[in-house]
Amino acid sequence: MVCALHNADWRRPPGHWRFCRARRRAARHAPAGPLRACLEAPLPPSGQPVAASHFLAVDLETTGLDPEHDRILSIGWVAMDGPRIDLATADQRLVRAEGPVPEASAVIHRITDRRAASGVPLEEALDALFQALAGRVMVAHHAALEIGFLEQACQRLYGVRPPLAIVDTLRLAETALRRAGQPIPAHGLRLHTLRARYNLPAYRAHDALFDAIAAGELFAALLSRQSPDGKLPLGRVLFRPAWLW
Amino acid sequence: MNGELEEIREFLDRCPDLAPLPAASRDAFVRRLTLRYLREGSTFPPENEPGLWIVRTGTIELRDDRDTLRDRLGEGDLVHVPEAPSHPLGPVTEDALIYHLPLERARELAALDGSIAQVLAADAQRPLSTDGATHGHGGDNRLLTTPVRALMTPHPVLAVSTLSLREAARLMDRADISALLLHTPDRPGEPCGILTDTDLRRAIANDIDPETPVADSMAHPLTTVHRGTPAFEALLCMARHDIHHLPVIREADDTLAGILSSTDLIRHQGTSAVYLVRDLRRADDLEGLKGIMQALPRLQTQLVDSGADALQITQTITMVIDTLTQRLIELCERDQGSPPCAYAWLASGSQGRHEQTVFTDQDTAIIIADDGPKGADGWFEALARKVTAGLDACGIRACPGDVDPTHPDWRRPAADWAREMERVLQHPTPRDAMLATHYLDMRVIHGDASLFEPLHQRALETGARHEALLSTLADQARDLPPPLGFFRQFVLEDSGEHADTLDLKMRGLLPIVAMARVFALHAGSAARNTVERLRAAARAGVIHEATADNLVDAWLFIAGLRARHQSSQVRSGQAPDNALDPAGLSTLERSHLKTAFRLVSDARKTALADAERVHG
Repeated sequence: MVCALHNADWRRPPGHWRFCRARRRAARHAPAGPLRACLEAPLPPSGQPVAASHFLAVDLETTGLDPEHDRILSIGWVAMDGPRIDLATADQRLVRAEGPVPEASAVIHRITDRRAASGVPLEEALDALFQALAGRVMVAHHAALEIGFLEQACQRLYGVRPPLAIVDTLRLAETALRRAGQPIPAHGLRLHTLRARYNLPAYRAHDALFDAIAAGELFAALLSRQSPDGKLPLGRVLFRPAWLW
Repeated sequence: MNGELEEIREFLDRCPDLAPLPAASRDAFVRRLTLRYLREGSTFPPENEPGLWIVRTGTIELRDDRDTLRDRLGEGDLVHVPEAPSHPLGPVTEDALIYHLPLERARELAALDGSIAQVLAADAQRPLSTDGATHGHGGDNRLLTTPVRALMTPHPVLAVSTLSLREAARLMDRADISALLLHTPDRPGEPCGILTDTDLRRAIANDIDPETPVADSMAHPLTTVHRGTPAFEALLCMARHDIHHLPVIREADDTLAGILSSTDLIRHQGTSAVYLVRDLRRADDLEGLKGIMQALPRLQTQLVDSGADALQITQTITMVIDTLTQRLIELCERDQGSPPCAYAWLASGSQGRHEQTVFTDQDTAIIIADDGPKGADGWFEALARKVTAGLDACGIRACPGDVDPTHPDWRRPAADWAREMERVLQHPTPRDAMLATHYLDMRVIHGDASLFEPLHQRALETGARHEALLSTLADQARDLPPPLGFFRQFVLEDSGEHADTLDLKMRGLLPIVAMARVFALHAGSAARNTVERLRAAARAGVIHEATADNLVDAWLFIAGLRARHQSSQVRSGQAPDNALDPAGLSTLERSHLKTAFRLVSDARKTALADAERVHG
């Protein structure tokens, strides 16, 4: 599935009505709660200017890259109104671990067993996320990972795979660079490499909240170039999950 | 559970302008910020939005209505825009990530904690003007900015020099003036001398026949100033020459426009330098001099407060220290008997360049006429010991082993000096670079100037002809990097007594001084002062006018900052030094200082290379 996502052409209009229909269907199957409320909240029309759209930059820290076997360790997010990132909304949840945290991922995220044990149940973390996400378009760097893990978790906990409207900053940056005719070096699309390119500060890597803020800032930087006046239609920056069409 | 915004908080903790905000309110502050990304070339503030803006990365320029650069904001700088501006304040010149505290959130915060008001008010009061930083405590600056023409007495009485003393005295009495300008019979309208009350007093005391022509008693040649000369410079001129009247001439045709007396100046403030110099001249022993020199820090503070610029301050301080040196030598000659042969007392370093401040040390030397009797050196060694010790006692630190006339290297006969200077200037080893700079900066403080000036002139000619010296000096200028790091943060001293401070002299002024020295040498200019050297080099076409202007501005700004820093140290009872803590600067000063360093850095890259190419 991850491959299919990669091949998606985000530049085509997202087929807004089909997407909304899929969301309504998922909402019907979801249990009452923040997920359902989130799916029921109307999405902005795809022609709406980005400057007037509302986003939620999200980052997940996981024990690995495979949604089937790996677990979510923490979720961080921050809301964006157009290109403005509002730190008042910055939030994160550590997820209580159901087993030991693999050593390799503990090194990366600095989330140890003890810290993981102090977290909240995954369901509580997801509820908080979906509450924040209602009426907003998710922004993530390399969104396939976020999509994969969130769908897997929702499938397990709520029995639905929620169709989420997502902006992928990695895709946006890649397209921007290709269009500018710039070569993309190895690791050139990593969040931290891209941020340096746009003169954004280096944050300590792999903290869900700061990675979410970092992705939001990168999105703002990309928008400032692609659409200085903010009039670019939202549909043009959306990353479209391929299975919907 | 809220995520921790520790990284942003840590950044804000490093912003000195947010210092008034207590630690307890900072989390609330961070939580109310929004983040904006401004692309290079866009305008600031985005959507002309008011509020408090803090630059995290990038550069934003603030310009006024006439598009003149007023400020340049970089990492950690903040600007408070109290209301929505009708037009953008300036362009973003480097991709910028900025934090924004919108007005309504600032108000929310003010309700929680009043100290945010201090942050906003401190920035609002800061004048957005380039010269704002140089204004002192609102003292009366008229003396510094006013041209002489505003203070002088126009239409001075001018009489012919064949007049008798008695006739001249009557004329002065009738006109109620203390000074009478005189001209020769063949050149009416062109003053050639001046007769003052003091001259009349002296004539009577010496039983001069009142019927003799005034030409015998008048002072001549005349020292004059132009109409446009700042009053402060006129003041310096009077103090230097120990006179109280200056004829004022028109710039255009050199005709007489008026006369300026010290009373004209004393009516305004800023005269303490004159009094200080006068007191030094009258002092009769070291104890007296010591007592008077205690007023020197106060003089600098006063100059800073009255808005004097760095050139005026350093020249005044140098003038006072020159006078002190001269008086010490005179007292020494009185005690030791007259010198066995002609000699001159030389000053190098900042004194030689007229660039001293209250925190300074001695760089002096002696040149002795070649025709001195055997054993004459003993007299000069004794002089050197007494004068350097005297200066030290008066607060001008001795600098043993460096440029010190008690050491035979710095106390030589003229021929020996000539040989030594030839050697250093023609074939300098890197070790000699320091010597060469001292030789080029030297000037005569006391004694027979004709002993040294020809040597200096020859040194200039020799130096300008020799690639080796020019490149040694250029290398020296390159070896003093301005203290800006890769991210345009200040590079601070990392150890010792002054850790985490900027050495304004070593890192700020000396790179400019070193460059000016090279340029002046290329231009063949005998000027010692850095500002004069740069101007001379621009006139000679060695550097661009704009480069000279930039470097002069940078020098004036950094030296001004140092003077203010020292003056605030003096005021708080500390010993003045050159170690500045940049955290104590305002955003504006910091950005100016960075700009100054960058100008120096740019000039070092281009102008030095250009100068070498032009020459080669």
